[in-house]
Amino acid sequence: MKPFLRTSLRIVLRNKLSASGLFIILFFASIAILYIILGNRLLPYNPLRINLSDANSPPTFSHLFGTDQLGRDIFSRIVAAIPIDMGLSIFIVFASALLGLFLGTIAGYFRGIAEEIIMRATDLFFAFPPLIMSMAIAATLGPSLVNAAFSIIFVWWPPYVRLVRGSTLQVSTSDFITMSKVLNTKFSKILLKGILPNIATTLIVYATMDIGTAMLTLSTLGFLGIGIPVYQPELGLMSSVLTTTLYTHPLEGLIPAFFIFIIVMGFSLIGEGMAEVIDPNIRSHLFSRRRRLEEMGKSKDAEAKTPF
Amino acid sequence: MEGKQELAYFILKRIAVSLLVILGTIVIVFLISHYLSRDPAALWAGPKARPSTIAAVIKRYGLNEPIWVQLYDFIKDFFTGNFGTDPVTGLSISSEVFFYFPNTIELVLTSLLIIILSGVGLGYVAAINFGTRKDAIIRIIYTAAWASPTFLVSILAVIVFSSYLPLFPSSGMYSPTIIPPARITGMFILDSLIGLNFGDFVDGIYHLILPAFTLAFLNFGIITRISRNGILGVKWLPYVKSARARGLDEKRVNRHHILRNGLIESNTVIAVMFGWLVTGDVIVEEIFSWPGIGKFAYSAISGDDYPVLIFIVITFTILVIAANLIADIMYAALDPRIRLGGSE
Amino acid sequence: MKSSVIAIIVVVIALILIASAVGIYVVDHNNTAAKTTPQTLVVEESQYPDSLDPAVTFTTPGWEIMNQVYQGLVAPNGTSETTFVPVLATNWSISSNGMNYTFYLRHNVTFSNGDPFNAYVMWFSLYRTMTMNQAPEFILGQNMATNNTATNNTFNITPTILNQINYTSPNSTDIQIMGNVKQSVQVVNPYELTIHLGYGYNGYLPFNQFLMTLTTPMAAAVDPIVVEANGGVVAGQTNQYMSGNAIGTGFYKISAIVPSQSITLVENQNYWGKNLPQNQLNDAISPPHIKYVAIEYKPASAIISDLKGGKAQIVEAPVTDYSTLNAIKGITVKLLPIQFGSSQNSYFVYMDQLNSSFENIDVRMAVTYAINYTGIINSVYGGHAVQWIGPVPPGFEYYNQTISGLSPYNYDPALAAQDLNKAGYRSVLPNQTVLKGIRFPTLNFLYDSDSSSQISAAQIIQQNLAAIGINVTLKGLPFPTYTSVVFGLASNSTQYPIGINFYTEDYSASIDYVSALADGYYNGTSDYYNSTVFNWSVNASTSFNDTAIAQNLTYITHAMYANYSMAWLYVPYFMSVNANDVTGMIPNTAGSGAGYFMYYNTVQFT
Repeated sequence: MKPFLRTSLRIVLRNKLSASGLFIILFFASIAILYIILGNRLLPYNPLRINLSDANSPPTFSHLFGTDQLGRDIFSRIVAAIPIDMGLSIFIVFASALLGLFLGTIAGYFRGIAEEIIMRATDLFFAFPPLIMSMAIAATLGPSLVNAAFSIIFVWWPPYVRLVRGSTLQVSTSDFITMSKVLNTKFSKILLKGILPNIATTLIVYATMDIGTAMLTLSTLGFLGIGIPVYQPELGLMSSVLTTTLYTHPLEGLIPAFFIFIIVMGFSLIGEGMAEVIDPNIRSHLFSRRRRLEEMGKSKDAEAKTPF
Repeated sequence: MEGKQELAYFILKRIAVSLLVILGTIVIVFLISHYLSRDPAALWAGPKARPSTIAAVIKRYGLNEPIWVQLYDFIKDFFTGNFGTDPVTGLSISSEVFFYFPNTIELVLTSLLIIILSGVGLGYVAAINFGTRKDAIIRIIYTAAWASPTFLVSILAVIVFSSYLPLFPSSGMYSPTIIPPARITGMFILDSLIGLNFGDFVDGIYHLILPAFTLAFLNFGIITRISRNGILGVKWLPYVKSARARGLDEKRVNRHHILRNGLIESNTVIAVMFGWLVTGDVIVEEIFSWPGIGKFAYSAISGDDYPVLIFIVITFTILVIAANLIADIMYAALDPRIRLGGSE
Repeated sequence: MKSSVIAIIVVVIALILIASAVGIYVVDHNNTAAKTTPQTLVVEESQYPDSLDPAVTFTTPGWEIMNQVYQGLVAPNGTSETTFVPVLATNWSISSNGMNYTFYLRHNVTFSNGDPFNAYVMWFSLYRTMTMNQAPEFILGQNMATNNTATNNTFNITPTILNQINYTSPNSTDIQIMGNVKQSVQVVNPYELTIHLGYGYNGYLPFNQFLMTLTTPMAAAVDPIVVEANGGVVAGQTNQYMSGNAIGTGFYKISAIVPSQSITLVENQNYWGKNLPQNQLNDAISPPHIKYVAIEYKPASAIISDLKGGKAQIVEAPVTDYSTLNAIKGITVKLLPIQFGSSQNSYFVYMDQLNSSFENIDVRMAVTYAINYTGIINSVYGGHAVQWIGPVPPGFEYYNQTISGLSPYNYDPALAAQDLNKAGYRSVLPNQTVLKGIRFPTLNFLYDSDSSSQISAAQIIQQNLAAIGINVTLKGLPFPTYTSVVFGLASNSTQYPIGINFYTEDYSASIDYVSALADGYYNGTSDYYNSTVFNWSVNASTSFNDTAIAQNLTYITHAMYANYSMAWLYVPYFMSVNANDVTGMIPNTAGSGAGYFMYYNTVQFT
């Protein structure tokens, strides 16, 4: 597996698309981490500080991205919002993946009644309209980041169960597992050594792409004003002024929306690159093409080298 | 004949299971909404309602009864076709939902059509030109489109194509001054065609273009990628190679086999996406003021109108389950390996 | 997939696209043609009507439709809120004690479907509203009722009675019931109706704004034949058919409804007023100039876009868009006199005196002086709002008399901190000096999360309060939940001891505001008022003497001001926005058309 990881990383980095995605994410992640460590000292202004005398100002030198309706510095608010959006999205995906891992391995390994129950429950939750259910749950629970995350996790976990179960099924038929079963190895050991390593890659690829989708859903909730406290720096909430300030101060809403776009784009690009690596069809295609090119190159060199 | 029998058995089994899931959904959704909405009577009675009005609302909707009684009444009513009155608007819920739903279907189907055509087509072009600039550009475009927040694209679409370039109407499904055609399917465009009312038809298309293309633009990425990957994979499958070896014309091999297999990959996702699109278009409907189920659901959520919400969620769920069912059946029909046992 | 199939699909799509292109050209051509012979007035606003049943609807867009399709006995006279013109009643008289109103009804009035109108129909309509007992019923219920079984038991109009009478040709028993003099509504003869006040919530007292309550949709004429054909009258319940359809005597009728998108009105071809001689017409009943009125409901950005593109003639927009709209060419934007703003929203911060934190007047004074009123007005409304002293709203009758000698609460954080400290709490002066005391408890601050202006105002007030040492947790609720809490109807109203509230008129009279605000129907406002204040408001509503009314209202205003019961905030101006090619709109605070005018019949293209 290790050489596989190394080759994959190399491919990801060589592929310009996914490399740029990785770069974007690392850039924003470092900003987020810096903010978490240093807090508001990092910022030119306190993101919550209201200053009515300077409301709705366009970008200037003192306020890089301008100020919003209550005079808060948009640049500071965006920096403060990045760890929230990214962190919460990662948390949502992580929690869903964990739940999916747990349920999926049980379903895929033990089969039988457990599998039936788990898969039917998954079908049930899968059939819920995702955005509407999240909206309804978040709206009723009230505005808080925890409620928003919970309402999204509620509809987010089913794909992971399917994914994990599918991979577990594939792996379960391998010789390694069958031998372990014959040897009466403990389930936890089989799980850790046999199943997990093999499904890890699929899971990670899917989860990485999913973080972007989760962030889009989270910011949509913010845009609609559901589930996010009103003063909270959150990119979707900050973009919600777009509907009202479109013709007066469009930048106020466009800039946060643009940042949502960039960050989600980063995750999607990584996912694009990784998916290419994971999908065996493409990989073989990739590898075989390069081999062909190398061979072509060699034969040309050989031709060139042959003295005439 | 064995294949057909297996297919039939497979279908029946899936249908039975789906029905069970639907029943489970109804119970869960009902319980959740009752738990989440603690004091709806005051909301439904309307602003500044007197206590006597609120008491009447409680009585009418049986809000004081124990939850199990309410659940039983609800299931009984649901399966006898009595979907109740919308407590906020006073209209019957079924009439409202049957008005809004086809409008969303019309929007989503049109978007889906655009997505399939452009997605499979672009996926094909990208796959053929694997590794070149064309391929990369297509991939960047669809990744960017998919990563864009829905509200951003919708609002920009309105500004650019309706305000600065006054090409399309900024909102709505059809002009309020025309006389709508007789409702047969509930979908405006279809009904106009059936009624041979071309003025209405054109008006409907005119209003449909912007929201449908917006929705399609946001979602065509997944189909493009899947079809691209599917086609790339297929190119190297043994039977394609053998077809080539048999001397079949390269072009025909391309189109016939590759497209078909590209489509198999896409078609499951299409069925799933259908359910996803129908719910994901809440924002598009809000911004384009498209009278669809997403917009209706949003106003129901804001108004704590949970009878409507329950009905909408259940209808969606049924639709998604049905779509999945169809996808599974199609998959089984297209790919004999699935029918013969071994699950996903 | 066969190539031929693909080819067919491509050809079909191409045909559709070509057809659309041709169609778009044709449609556009028609649109421009329509402009030269305008038949359609396009009105755009954001909120869709709640119901089309005049006994149920309680929102501005709902009343807008009602005013065009249904009619009542009288209507406000032009821009006046104190004089009235005849609509379905040609003449009326009031008894000397103010308890009996006799109306002489117009002959030859029909509904748009041809059904006849007479006193019996009016009798039915009024009792129907009261029987259904929906939210706006109290507008009539103040003075009328369906029975007095609890007291003298002289009448009891049940739904069964309402549903069984034949209103076109009633039999003798029916006529006896409807003619009974000891009831709220009495039919004297088929064209004479007497309303006897005193059976409603106000008790046996006259009401000087009674005629204004009759201009509301609650008192509109409803066709009993239509109602009976579609479910009849049921006590305490809405009617599915009537909620979605409207058949009235008005000059417009409904042509098309696209739920949540648009409602189109068309000129009523059977309108009874078409054949009236000029000298009998007035602005409330004259036939319309414009054949179609298309009212579209869309978000604010789409409205502005349509206004720019010339697709809409009249729009309703929040005053915060004033500068954007002003910049559009060919549009007239006006800030209407402040009473229009008052009729829509008069804001104040309430403090629940039953909550121990607000019992002490010093605390209430502290909160009142801590708020930066002009700051909010400038940043949230761009300066287009006025600070006020309630409960009589600015621009309404008697406002100037009631506030004479008083000036609006001012922003004085130093004074606020001192008052807070006087009550024993820790407070912070503007220069950051801390005055020692116990910490003020953290309370929930309520506001309407659907209102962007309230969202901003709440955050500013939170910061203002924090500056003197009061920390509040912002709790925003969506509008329906918010209203149920502020009306004290939700079970958890006490969890919100302080917050932003606003009053919007039910009918255009000062007493409407005063009785709600002074008599404490709202959450947290009921605790300071006592029998003295109550008597003052009774006097103000029953007296027919202007001086007496003004005097009593002044007592109330001064009492509330000295008590610091509410921190009166501001009244935003209301904007009228219309394209320059339409004229004839008559503004009236009782109106609901695009928020401010009553009827579309007077509108015409220039």
